[in-house]
Amino acid sequence: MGKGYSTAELEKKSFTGVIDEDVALMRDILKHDDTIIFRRFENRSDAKIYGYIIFTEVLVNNLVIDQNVVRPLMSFDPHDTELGDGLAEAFARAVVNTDDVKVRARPIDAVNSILIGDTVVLINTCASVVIANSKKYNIRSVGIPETENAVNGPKEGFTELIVANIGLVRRKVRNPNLKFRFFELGRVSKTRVCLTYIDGLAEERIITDIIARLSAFEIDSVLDITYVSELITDAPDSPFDTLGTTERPDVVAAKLFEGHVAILCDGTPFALTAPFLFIENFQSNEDYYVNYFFATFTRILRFSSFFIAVSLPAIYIALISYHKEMIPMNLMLSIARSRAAVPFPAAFEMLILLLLFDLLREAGLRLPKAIGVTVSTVGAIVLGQSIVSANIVSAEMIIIVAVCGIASFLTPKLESEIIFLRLTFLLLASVLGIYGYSIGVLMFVAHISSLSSFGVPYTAYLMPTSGQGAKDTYVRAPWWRMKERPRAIQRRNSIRFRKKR
Amino acid sequence: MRALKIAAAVFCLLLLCGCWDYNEMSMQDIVIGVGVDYTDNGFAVCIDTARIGDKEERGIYETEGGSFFDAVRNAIEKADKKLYWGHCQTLVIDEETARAHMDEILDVLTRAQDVYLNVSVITARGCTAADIIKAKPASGDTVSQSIANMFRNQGNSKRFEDIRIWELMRRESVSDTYVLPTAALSGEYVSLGGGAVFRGGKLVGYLDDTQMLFYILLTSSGTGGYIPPLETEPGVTVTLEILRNRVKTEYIHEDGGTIAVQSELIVSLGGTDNANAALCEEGVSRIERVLCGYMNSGFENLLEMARANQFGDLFGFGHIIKRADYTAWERLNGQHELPVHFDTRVVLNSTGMLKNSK
Repeated sequence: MGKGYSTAELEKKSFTGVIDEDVALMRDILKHDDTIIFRRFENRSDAKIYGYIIFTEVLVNNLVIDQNVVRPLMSFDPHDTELGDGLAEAFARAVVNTDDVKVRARPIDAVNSILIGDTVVLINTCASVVIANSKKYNIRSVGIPETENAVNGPKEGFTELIVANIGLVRRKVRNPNLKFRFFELGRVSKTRVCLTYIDGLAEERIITDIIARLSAFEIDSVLDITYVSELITDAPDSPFDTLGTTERPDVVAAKLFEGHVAILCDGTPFALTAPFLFIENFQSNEDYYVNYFFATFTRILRFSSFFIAVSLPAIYIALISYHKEMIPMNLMLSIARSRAAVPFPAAFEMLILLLLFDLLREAGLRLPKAIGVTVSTVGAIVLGQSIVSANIVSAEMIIIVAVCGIASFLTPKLESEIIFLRLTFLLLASVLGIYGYSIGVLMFVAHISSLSSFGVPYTAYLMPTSGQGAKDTYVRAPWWRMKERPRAIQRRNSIRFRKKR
Repeated sequence: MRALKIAAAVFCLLLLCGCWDYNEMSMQDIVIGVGVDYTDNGFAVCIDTARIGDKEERGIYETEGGSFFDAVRNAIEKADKKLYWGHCQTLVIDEETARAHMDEILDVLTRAQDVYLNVSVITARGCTAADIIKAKPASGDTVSQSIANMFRNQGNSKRFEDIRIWELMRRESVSDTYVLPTAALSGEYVSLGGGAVFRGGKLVGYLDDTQMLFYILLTSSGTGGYIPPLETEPGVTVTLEILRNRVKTEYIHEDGGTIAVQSELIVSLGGTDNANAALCEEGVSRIERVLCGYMNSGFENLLEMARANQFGDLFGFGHIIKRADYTAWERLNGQHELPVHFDTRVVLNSTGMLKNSK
């Protein structure tokens, strides 16, 4: 086993024009990789014209190589063709029949192309290579987004292939101002990442900022878009995401139309959107596909459910441990009766149940679907019933945790934040009662107020100061009322609705 | 450094308040009501707690002490768990306590941080407070809950007033006289009715059910009540319900000062034994006229009785004079027994006559 070439070493290398030396160099660079194919070819009319085609077996479309590369190279008539450096240009111009053909002089370019499914043609006497597009995409078909289910609206979600994802976005924004700019991230993995925005709508400042951040970090590999998210976010130490995540092309398109920018990453069926505001956690794509009255109702439901999910356990513990006088008499008696035989302190009991709930949720997620359903059923019914019968926890506590759990599903984007906040509030409330809970809420508000996403305050529109600003926040106004794009995101071209019928 | 500062801030906040008032619900007995009797040995307290869990017996603890506070503290020796007073609903006091020790009881309860001022105060009549607490509950698990249910269920049509400690203190600040509901034993059960009149914090007499009705109508604007069957003419008896009353009491300067009480009653016809005679224009007018007379004479009789028994300023006239004319109030020197003119107006609804339909 030899030592591999570093990128710096590869960059220093160049082709010599002596075919045997160049092939030896390529073999050395790509040694111990049996998926790389070196095929010698020779022109039938002129035996002096020969060379090698190099490609990765598993990434290429063999039919394209056979018909558009190998066959033309072997059968063309080279009556006036002279050997030498010009041969690569001539082959690229008139012989190789693929849609994208390039001529490159550096081995590093040839290697990189081979590794993404292109075919490299090394020619005798020529110090340049021809790179022909022969990629074959083994893609999962466009399916229903799993994390952002919607009854109404488009049913397509991103796949792992970046070009397919770009196509999905492009199909929704048929405008020449829609820009896609590629970056190669990951020193070893060389993952393709694409920044997309609508020129004229997205703020130049934000685009520049994102490009600077994408170019600033150096990491071995980028296997998922969350790598990028974590590396370019404004608040890496915060549990709150200042970059949005979606697996729906329609959401990306909608964000682009509002002046956001999106980042796609090869190998990830998700896109990042920036800037991302706290209020976006409560917005759903379906809000715009249903009647706006219903959309407003569900949005208010989401805000309420967030409050319930983070606060209910803490408030309940504070009330039954410190402020019993705030509980109505009959409810108090009912709680007291159910807790009479429970041996644990209420706060501890709540903590056990919350952790148990998270355990069941995690188990249900990670297991295969069929078993996941069984685990959930067993957990919810059998375990819940048993621990109440065994007087380990009280029935009210089960109800509180169940309500909390259901409420947290309404804002899936805040799932991890809810768990963090819920446990923090619970801890504070179990030590200090409502006073502790209030401290927790103050800390939470202070923290999210201190965050920003690419220069835009994270809490923008939580307390809207203008009528237009309020129309897509706690309510979803009809389209003819939402005349302006969010001005906190962009100010260059703010009018989106011009004329009503 | 920033994290250190945040940690220090949180630590400082923790020092400001701790879990000193933390109490597990399962470690507490919830006090629902308390009865206070004055005996030769001091105070005897009967504490009624909620029935929790599988406990068959009612959780009643009886203790004694030289003072009310002492007696309550002595409950520690008898109670299974720590007593929690935050949901105490009823305070029953016996006649002896009501006559001489009311102030002491109220003083302890208003100082205690875990007792809230929305406890209903009731006077036991013809029995001890402990008898009331230990009686068989007509509804709920305990007598205290049963009494609370009675107060709540009577709605707007009041037979007795639910006087909480805070209301009692408010009334005491307006006039030196106030009325508390009375409870008596009726077989195994407790019945509420009438009122106990307190003057200067001491029991001075009682009002019967009818007097209590007139007292409530005079002092509580916006309430209703039930009028006993009334004969409006020979052979015609009607039953009436007061839906709402509106009372306006004024001090009139003329003639050396008088009190004018204007009362407007909106009444509905509950039933009659002679619909033909009652439900005509003339019949309705007659009912209204008779009811006016009945109400005026009822108010006058109550006033006369109160003055005869030296109940003090039962209707708060002194406060009205003080607010209307402070100089006159000073001149009267606390004397509120001025001539009083009652003027009652009655509107009869729900007669079933087309004339009144809207």
